[in-house]
Amino acid sequence: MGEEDELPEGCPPDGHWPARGAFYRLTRPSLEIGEVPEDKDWVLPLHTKKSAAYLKHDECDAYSYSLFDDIEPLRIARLASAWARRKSISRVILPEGSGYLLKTESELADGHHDWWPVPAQCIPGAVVVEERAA
Amino acid sequence: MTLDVSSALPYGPLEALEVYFEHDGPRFFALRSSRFLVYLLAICVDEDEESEEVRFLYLAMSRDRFVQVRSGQVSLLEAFEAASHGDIWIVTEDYSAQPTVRAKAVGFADIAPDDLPLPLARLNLQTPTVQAFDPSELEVLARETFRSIAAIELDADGENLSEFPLRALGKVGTTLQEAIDALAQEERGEPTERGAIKRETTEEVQMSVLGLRAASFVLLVGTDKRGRFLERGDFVAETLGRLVELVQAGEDDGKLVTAMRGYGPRARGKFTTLIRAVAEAGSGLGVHVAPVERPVRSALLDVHQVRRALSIIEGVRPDIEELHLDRVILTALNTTRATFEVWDSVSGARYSGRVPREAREMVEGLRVGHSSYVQVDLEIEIDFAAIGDEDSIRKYFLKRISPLD
Repeated sequence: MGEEDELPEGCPPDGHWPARGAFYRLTRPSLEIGEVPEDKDWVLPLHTKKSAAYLKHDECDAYSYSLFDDIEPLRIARLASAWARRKSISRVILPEGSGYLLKTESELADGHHDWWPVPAQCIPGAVVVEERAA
Repeated sequence: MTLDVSSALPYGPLEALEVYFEHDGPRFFALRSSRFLVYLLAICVDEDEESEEVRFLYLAMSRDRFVQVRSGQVSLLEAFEAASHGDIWIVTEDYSAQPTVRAKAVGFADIAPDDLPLPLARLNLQTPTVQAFDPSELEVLARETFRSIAAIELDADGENLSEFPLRALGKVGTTLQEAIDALAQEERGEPTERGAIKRETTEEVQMSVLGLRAASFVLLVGTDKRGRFLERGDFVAETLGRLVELVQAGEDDGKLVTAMRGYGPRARGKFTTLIRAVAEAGSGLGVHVAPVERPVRSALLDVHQVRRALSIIEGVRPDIEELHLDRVILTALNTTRATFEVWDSVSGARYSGRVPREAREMVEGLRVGHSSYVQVDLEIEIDFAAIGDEDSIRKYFLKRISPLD
């Protein structure tokens, strides 16, 4: 592994399906409603220094973004986490052929999905729908 | 959390427990210390794009408090508000160069209000009222309380309910303590068949219930320290280890009887009583023992293995011994009930039992009383796993009797 467009073996895990549809994601604090997140808002964990998967070319998580199929889990997360309150929320549209999806819910956040973009540099259409709340 | 914060906090190695919210990595999650009975909630509060730092609030709490927070009885904000100084930490993950973690203990008043959870924020997760049993917890408890800890795992109906009938529990508890007492006698190298066990032996292994765990039904027990700070040597751990070995032997038909033959009648009987109590409760039996600073030893029998073990023990034929008594007094003879009693005036021992059909002619016409000296041969049946008094462990049969003088 090493090439960004090649996912590691066994990645995405079993149960994934072709990406398509509308999702939500936390985005940069400074973005305002109606703004479109830029290319710099779409940096894979593989290239994010603050990520556990930074430069871990063999880890499947290094190649995926978190997306939610509903805005509500992000609003609930904002109640608990000041980090989430300080982020804007964007609506993201994944066109057909934009990669793979897998539902990976956690205890509090129903609707969490991992999205593996293909190609890795794929930038989906997105627009800010809620500004930072703190 | 992307870095291991264990070294920055005073709770020993931390293990991830569950994630409540993740967004390109965990942002709100729970951890547990593998050394102390401490749980931690971690909530991401800020991320500095320029300095490449991520800040978290960590809140340390007891298991009971964690249950309250997790189930939603207590809001996240209330949990922070009620925390003692030293329980709240600001943890900063710094990725500017070589990734590092810093932690600083703070009071509630020191936290910027904007960083705290909002009043409405609370978890609302189904949380068992009884903590799930985790054998690694025993090692922590043993280390923290400086005593051996055992867990007795019972399963009344195989449905993993955190319930067990009280009457059956009473029986299991009593027979367990008696089995441990008898094994302690063996560990001390002075087993007896009957009478009270020395107080200094039973005191040393007197167990107390420390808690319950789910599921099925797990009883945590530890020695009642009675004011002592430390257990004396390995005595308790070795005694409990004997119990683990006996239960383990129950996994193999051939080994069980051999293992039990290594013990005297009292220990065999008491162990059998324990197995019988568990079988009557329709339960399996697990025994986990954690001596201080040593790994947990475990043995587990399911309900079928318990029943099988009991049937094997009950099927073992008694040992037969013979005893010749040169000069004893015939103190009782009942020809109707075919019973006898002789008394050895030198040793003070009394032997009573049955007169089998083939010996009945020999006793006809014999006088009973202090001047009636006789010579006897007795056959002794030693039950493999009888319980209770001398009469039930050893059965005496008169083989030969002849009057003296």
